[in-house]
Amino acid sequence: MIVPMKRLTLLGLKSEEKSILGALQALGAVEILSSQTAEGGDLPLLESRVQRLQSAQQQLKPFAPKAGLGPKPIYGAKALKEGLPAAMQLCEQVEELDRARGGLRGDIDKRRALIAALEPWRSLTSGIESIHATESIRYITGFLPEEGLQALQELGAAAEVYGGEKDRAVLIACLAPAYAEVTARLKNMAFKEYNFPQLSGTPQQNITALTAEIEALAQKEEALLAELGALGAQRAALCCAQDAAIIERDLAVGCASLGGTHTTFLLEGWARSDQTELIHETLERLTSKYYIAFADPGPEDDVPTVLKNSRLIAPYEAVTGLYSMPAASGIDGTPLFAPFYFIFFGMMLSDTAYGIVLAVGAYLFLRFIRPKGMMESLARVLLQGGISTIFMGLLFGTFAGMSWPDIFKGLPFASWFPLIDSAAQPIPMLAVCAGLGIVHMFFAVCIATWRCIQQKDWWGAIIDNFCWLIIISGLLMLASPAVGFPKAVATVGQWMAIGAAAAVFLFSGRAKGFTPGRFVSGAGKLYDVTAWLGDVLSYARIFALGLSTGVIGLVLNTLCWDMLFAAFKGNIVLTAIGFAITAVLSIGLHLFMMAISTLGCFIHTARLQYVEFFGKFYEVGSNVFTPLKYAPRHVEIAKE
Amino acid sequence: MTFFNFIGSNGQLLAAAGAVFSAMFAGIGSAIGVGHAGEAGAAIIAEDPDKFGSVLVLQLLPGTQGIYGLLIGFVIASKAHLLGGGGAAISTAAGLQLFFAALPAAFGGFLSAIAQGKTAAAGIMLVGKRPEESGKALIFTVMVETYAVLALLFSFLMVNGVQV
Repeated sequence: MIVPMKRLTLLGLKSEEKSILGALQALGAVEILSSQTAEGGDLPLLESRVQRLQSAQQQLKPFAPKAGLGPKPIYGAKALKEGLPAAMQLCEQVEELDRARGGLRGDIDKRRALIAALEPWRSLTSGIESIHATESIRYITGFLPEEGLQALQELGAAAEVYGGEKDRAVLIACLAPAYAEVTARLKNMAFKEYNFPQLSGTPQQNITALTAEIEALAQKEEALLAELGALGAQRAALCCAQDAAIIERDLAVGCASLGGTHTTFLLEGWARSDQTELIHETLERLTSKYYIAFADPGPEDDVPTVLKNSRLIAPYEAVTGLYSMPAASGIDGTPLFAPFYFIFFGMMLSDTAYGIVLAVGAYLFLRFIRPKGMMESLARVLLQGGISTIFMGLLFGTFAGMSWPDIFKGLPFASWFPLIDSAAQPIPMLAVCAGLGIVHMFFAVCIATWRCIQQKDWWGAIIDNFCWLIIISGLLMLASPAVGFPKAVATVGQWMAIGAAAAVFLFSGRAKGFTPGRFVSGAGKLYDVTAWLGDVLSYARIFALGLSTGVIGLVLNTLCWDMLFAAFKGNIVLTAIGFAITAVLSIGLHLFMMAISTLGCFIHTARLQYVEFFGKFYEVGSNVFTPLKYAPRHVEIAKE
Repeated sequence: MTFFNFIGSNGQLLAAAGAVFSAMFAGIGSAIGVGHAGEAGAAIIAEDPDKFGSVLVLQLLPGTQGIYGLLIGFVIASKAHLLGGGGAAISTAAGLQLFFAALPAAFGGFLSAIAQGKTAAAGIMLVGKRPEESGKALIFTVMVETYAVLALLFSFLMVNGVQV
């Protein structure tokens, strides 16, 4: 169901703002409607603290001990906050090391670039410092393409060629008066001038020295890395501190978005109607100087939605959430579709062995990893889906690809299972799927009818919804003699369908008065019968997915056991080895296929709810209840 | 004996062609689809390696068509006594029926895998920008699979119905 919401107005003293909001954050029961954009004050600082801690803990991630599978550690909010100052020191230490490392990397890169530049000149034997213009001689250094080397001879200057691949390093010496002419001619030869940096000694000496420097710097970097590595064990503290910083930032954002005066604050927001007492008690424990009022939402309010369901149904809220939360004025589809979800999922996966593995796996995951939020809900849906699959496997499917008559061979009830062998009897199986689909959609139409009646929209209830139940039932009755019903049923069905169709034709466009447009929309509405046909056929996916699971399992078994294992004939040792290999392989393949099939079944079952079921009555909401609360990423906050 | 006579009098050859078509085309489609998705995935992982899990699932999805094709190929091959060497010959009519039965899995798989690969790539981009919406990316991608599953279903029913 959708929890009714209350519009909350809270007035308090500015001096108590932080403590009151902090208590509400711990409670996680109030969504604040911002009266101004949260900015200024400490906010940039608090935000940057979250970011700094984030990047510091990411820095340490490669060095931290690998986190095994397991639940998140539990901390009290207070303990978390107390660890923050020490963690900030650690954070600074990491940042300092990172900066130093960045500096070293920069130095190394600079030297590498210099070596690369000097490399072509390696065979130059004179010192770089000695290459400079004198009174009568000018030196030109640079690079000339390989094919231009010939032309150097005719330059009228002394030239020496060094290394380099495509462009060769060239040192040219000419007399001072000829300098202008030589440079002009060089330009025509695609010569690129290169000026040596301020260095002394030969290029070779420089390269050797630079290489030695790089080595020393790399060693320093190693040392820094080792220091970072030693801090790796403390990454958890940074993660905790990040969560503490997130909590403080969220609180500050909450405070900053409140309205008020210099001495008071005004909080306007939303609260669940079943938590108003809790909010009262929380405030009462803190202070007596406050005013609070809870009002029913007005017609112009965009009320946020929050769902509440029994323990068994609540996990399916995740499926609803994947589509969209219902509008606050609408109806929560979760408890309505949950039984269908349970049945359809089982029929799609329909392999008892997979069902057992899925159910046990989901149970262990919930028991030992203790996931929260979406993951927990999904695991619970899969746990229930696994249980459904165990039974549906008996009725329609297989056991890890093996057929039931083979497994129960020799037992008196061997021939009972599966109830419907969908591969051998596709038509009955299709009929079962279509039948379930019609029940599913009729239920949705009944909900829509009921909603119309609630809103006193009588025409909507009868023409837009109830008539369709009559039309579809009539058409089914019309077709029923094919499966042995008396002909009279068909006649009754025929007139039911015609009567209801006439009503739809005449009254669907009732808003348009007695105009031709009225009958055009009536005829258009009747065309919806094709949509119904399409929707019914859509349920064939239950059959298709069920069959594909079974067939894939069957083929896996044939490949592994009838072919691979059969190849290991001969003595007992060979057979044992073959058995081990085949067993491991077939388990791995079955698990892989189970995972893929489960994903497919999960989504296709959800689709039947979203399109075929929700399509008939569901009103989508856009506003999800997002209270101010603890939203840690790495730890779980203990309830106080 | 002319080529057509040879084919016409050899049911097993037609069945083999069907089996090969099914495994081959669906396999090619899946390779292209998984490739598309993989390229997109690599781009996202370059930015944020933590998204590997959800990106991998999306990349995997267009791979199922190849499995479906292989499956139909396998069922046909075993029905036409092509596996394990030396089974009874099957009639030309049965061979031709098996050949046609393979076509939905072959071409339905081939094209739907490519289409699904594109959708998966788009979904991966979605995950890159808004990781919290990865469930929806998954839904879009699996929707394309519907038609591969229907093709598999029909191929299988046809193959199953052929009297050898």
